[in-house]
Amino acid sequence: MKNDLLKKRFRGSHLEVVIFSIISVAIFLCIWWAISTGGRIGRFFPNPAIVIERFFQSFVVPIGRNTMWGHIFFSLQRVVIGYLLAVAIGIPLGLIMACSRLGKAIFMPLFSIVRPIPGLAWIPLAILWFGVGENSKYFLICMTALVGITIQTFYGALYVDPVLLGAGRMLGANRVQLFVNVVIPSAFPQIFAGLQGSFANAWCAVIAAEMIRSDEGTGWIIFNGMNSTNTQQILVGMVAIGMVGYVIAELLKVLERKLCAWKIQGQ
Amino acid sequence: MKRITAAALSLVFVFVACCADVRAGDEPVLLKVGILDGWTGFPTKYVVDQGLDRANGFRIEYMVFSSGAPANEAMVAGELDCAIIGGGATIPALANLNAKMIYETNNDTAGLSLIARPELDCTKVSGEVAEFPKILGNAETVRNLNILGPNGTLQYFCALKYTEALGLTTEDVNFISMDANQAYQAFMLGEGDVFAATNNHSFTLVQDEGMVMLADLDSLDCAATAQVVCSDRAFNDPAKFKALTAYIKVLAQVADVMNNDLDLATKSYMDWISLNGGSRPESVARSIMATKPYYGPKETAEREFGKDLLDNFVEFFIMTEQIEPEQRDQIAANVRDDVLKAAGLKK
Repeated sequence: MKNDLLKKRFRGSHLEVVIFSIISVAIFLCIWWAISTGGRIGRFFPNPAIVIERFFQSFVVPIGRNTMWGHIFFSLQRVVIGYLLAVAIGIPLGLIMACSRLGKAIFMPLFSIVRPIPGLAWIPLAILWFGVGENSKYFLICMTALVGITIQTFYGALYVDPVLLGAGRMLGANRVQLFVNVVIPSAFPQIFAGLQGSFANAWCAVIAAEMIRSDEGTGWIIFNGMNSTNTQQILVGMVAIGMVGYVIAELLKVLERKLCAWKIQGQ
Repeated sequence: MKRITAAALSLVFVFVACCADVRAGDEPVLLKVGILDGWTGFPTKYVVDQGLDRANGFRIEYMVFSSGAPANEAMVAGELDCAIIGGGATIPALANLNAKMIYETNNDTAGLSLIARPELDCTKVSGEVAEFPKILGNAETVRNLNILGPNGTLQYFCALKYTEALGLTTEDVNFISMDANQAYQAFMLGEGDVFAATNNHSFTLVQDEGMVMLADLDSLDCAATAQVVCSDRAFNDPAKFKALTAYIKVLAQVADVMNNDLDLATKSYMDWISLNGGSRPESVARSIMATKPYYGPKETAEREFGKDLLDNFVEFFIMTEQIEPEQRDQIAANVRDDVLKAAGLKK
């Protein structure tokens, strides 16, 4: 009863959510407008109308060699490849560390050392190992996404409900059957949470990745704007990264509702 | 039968190998060139656009960089054979990467300057330093001023030369080190008294903002150049050396084209800036093109190759501890006129 009241109070009606969301965005834009029109700072800080206009314009008028479609495409392509590499490495690694003592003993110390290193710190080594082409960008994005995927997979597989494991054993399942039919499905929601969070991180890492020589991409828009002291271009790049990130996050939520429906219903 | 089959197969292999060799011989040698997104970069694009590379028996693939340091990294990674870079990146390339400086592309001096606010006293004092009559200011009016700019760069070198010319040291002024673009923004927002600028900002600041140039490298009797620097590997590869020779020869011809047609140079420069996501007012682009002449065959023949770089910047890099004193000889040894001689640009 108490829970229902709390849920009601915090959820509010759908209309309320929409209204408050609009108000918060409007306040944000007003503050931005006020800062950009007052004093000398306005010279380097264009108002939101100019930035939004340029953002939409950039889908038709190129920034550098590409329109915004092209920049988003190149960035997404880099993120998807780097991210898939991270998935291919991170999920098996997390599962090995969770399910095998030997695997944990071998990989956990190395992983614990690599884990706190931020993506930007890998840039010099990425260039040294992979040059300034696409491979170094994939590597940076992969390293950024890898940590979250591995950790979530590891904990997801480590904390599988012992009752489920016991039930599986009681029904005569062997180790492989337990792993495939109990551990992986049980850990999947947490693995998926790791995949979601890591994709967001990978998308943010595209800025660092495109700091390594590039001619295109949303990160390039920002970096190029920095080099030419063009704040408008920087803000357009930021808007693009924010918007695409938001769309991706929403798509992943939809995917989660489909793939983990049983878990959500259970909650 | 086995012997006949083996002999026939051998003949087929030899024939295929010969065909492959002929095809490789016909294919023009690929030269991977790093160019910057500024005024030094577009002549190479012009070479490619006009098909002058293929017409001269080689093929250019260029990569665009926003500064020289990453181009050096790409050379280390084997992704570039050569790059056109400024003095700030050339010294470390010659000292640390054993790269070779093979051609000076243009005068890079104009625009490396100290820009002051017009209300400062130092902007009203001129001709007080007999040795450098064009510079403004004197020791009293410059002492304790706040100079914004990136430490260890040619802008810093300019500030250093200026204070030296006035009989001061860098201890007598406050040099506040920050990235060039951040320094520009801070200066425009009222921070600092003087901005150590490159031509990205100096022409605009003087022409459009009413700021005053206290000195530039030219008025301090120093010259900076941009140059083609190639990797040791490319330099020692006969096929690449030949392609480098052809490239330098073509670049020198394009230099004359640009020097003789300011309209074409300005337009090409503006298009290049725009292609790389930037913009320049035409007046600024024209000023830059007018004050940064390229070195054609005649200028190259007359110039003392590498002198400006060796005379002006090596000691500066040693002083700022960016290279070791014992690397001095290696730098000098890596200034090589072999390609210029092979191209007939130097005797």
